[in-house]
Amino acid sequence: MLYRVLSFALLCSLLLTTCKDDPTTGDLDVVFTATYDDEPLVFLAETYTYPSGVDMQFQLVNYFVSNVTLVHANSSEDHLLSDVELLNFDDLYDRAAAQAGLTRTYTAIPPGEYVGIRIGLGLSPELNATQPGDYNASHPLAENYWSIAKGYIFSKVEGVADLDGDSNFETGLTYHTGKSDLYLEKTFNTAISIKAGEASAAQVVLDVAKILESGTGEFLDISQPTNTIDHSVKPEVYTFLWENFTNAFTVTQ
Amino acid sequence: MKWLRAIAYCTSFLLIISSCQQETATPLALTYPGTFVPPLIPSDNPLTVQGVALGKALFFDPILSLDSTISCATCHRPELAFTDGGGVSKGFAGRKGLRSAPTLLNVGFHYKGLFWDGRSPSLEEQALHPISDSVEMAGDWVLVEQRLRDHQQYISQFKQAFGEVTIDRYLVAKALAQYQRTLISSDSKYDQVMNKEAVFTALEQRGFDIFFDARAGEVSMGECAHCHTDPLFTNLNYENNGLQYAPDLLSFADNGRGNVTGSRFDNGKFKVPTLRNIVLTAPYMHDGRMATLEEVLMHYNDGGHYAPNRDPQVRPLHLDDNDQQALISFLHTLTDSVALQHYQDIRRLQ
Repeated sequence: MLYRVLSFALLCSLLLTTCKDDPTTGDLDVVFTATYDDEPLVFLAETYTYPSGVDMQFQLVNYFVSNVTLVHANSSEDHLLSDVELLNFDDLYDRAAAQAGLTRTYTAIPPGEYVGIRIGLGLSPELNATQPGDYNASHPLAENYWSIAKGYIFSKVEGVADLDGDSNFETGLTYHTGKSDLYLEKTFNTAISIKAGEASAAQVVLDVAKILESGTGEFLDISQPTNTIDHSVKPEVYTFLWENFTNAFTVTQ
Repeated sequence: MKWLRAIAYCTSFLLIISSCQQETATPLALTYPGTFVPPLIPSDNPLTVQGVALGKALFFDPILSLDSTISCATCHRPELAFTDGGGVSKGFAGRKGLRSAPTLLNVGFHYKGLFWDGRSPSLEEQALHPISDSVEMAGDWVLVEQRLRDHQQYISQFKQAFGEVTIDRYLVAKALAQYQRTLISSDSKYDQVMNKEAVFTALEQRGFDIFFDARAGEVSMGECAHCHTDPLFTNLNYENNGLQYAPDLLSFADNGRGNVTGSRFDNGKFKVPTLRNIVLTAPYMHDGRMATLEEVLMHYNDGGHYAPNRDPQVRPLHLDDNDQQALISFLHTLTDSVALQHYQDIRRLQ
């Protein structure tokens, strides 16, 4: 009985001390979504048109970002939001889910007027030199490791195409990219205002259509079986896909 | 606030003192390779020597079944890498289940769900199912609990493992979970080669290269490791591997994962099984429909059967007979020395 009374007192004291809000910092909700051109990217339930005119459906899109940082006009006030995230779009089977995307909430951000977000696309060489056994099961880096390459798969785009137009999506497309020297930090200029005691929002959109077709209209000829798959083996393919990937993001508030 | 802090400190001190007095079990640390993602061990069920011993005793004891004829080990036999060598498993009174018994080796590292369809989130929750399932062990938990409470040996073991407690199904499940977490397989020839303690034969090396797409352009690509990812040789995800032709997502004989998520897009998906000790765990697939590894390889080499949600990595591989033999040779290197010893010990006795 004594233990119960004292335990209750402990619980109350802990609650009282933790409930106190910190009014000196703000939060930022970043919503990551994937689209195909201007349409939300819905897996399996919707059909999209590959640049060659062939119908295709998607089953998986995921990618790592690292060193996600709020950029301040005074660089000494840049604020690191996250060391690493794995954005795993794999069960977005309707438009509502696709539009809702994946939200990451970052807290305890110093208030201020930030001028952009800097995102490391892929993994920094330091992170890419680690391996899943270094992390617990809930950590982003517990996934997507490729032991032969002694590194991680930075991005995956997987889907199926209907090459012969019989409405059966029989041809698998799997594109995995990941090498340390592909890591690239990119700054997206957009004003983000963080206010103490409030939550702001930003959106990061990946247009998967831009991964498959470059800005100059180039795309892989997927009628050739060798172009339906690449796991960072053919430099001409994975550098093409990766360069497109790095140009496929927009960030807005 | 100072008086609140004082109460908190005093209470913490008293709780620590009181918990020390109740502690009788000896903590047990697991040893596993650094490449394994650490197992998820719930804070309310840490591993102890006594807990594991109790779990092992229960695992092999048919006392948990309705008529005391079926134990966990009936379907999870150590000499078959904790499978049962059958297709669809048979339980109480020879009743046929739906699916085959998966291996329990390394099951403690499975953090994305248990059973072929992932319906159980943890070992503690999973253990509650087979004992009361009418097809598997057909046990009645009320009766099982009473049997254990009346059993002098178990009274003593439960006390040693969990202290002064009333024996119930949840403690049974905890003990079984602790035991299963110690079933670690990580000493195969493959592991020894990775640790530079052994060398593959030429055929095994070629199989390794095919399995991991290690020498694309020089050697055929098997695409195996994308789903059967090392070191567990499963990515723990739920995939449709083209096992059954399905013109649409509602045509599967067994919806598998779809029955759990309620999403038709998950119909026909099953958990990617480990390939560790695969030569000991025939027959293959969730329902044991394939008797040999050769049959499995033929399935994948042909690209499987069409289904709208077939994994894109399942595609015709165009492996010739030599490459298929090389792959099988490599798969043999995934047999753990301890698992093999169990297998050989039993065979010697027969």
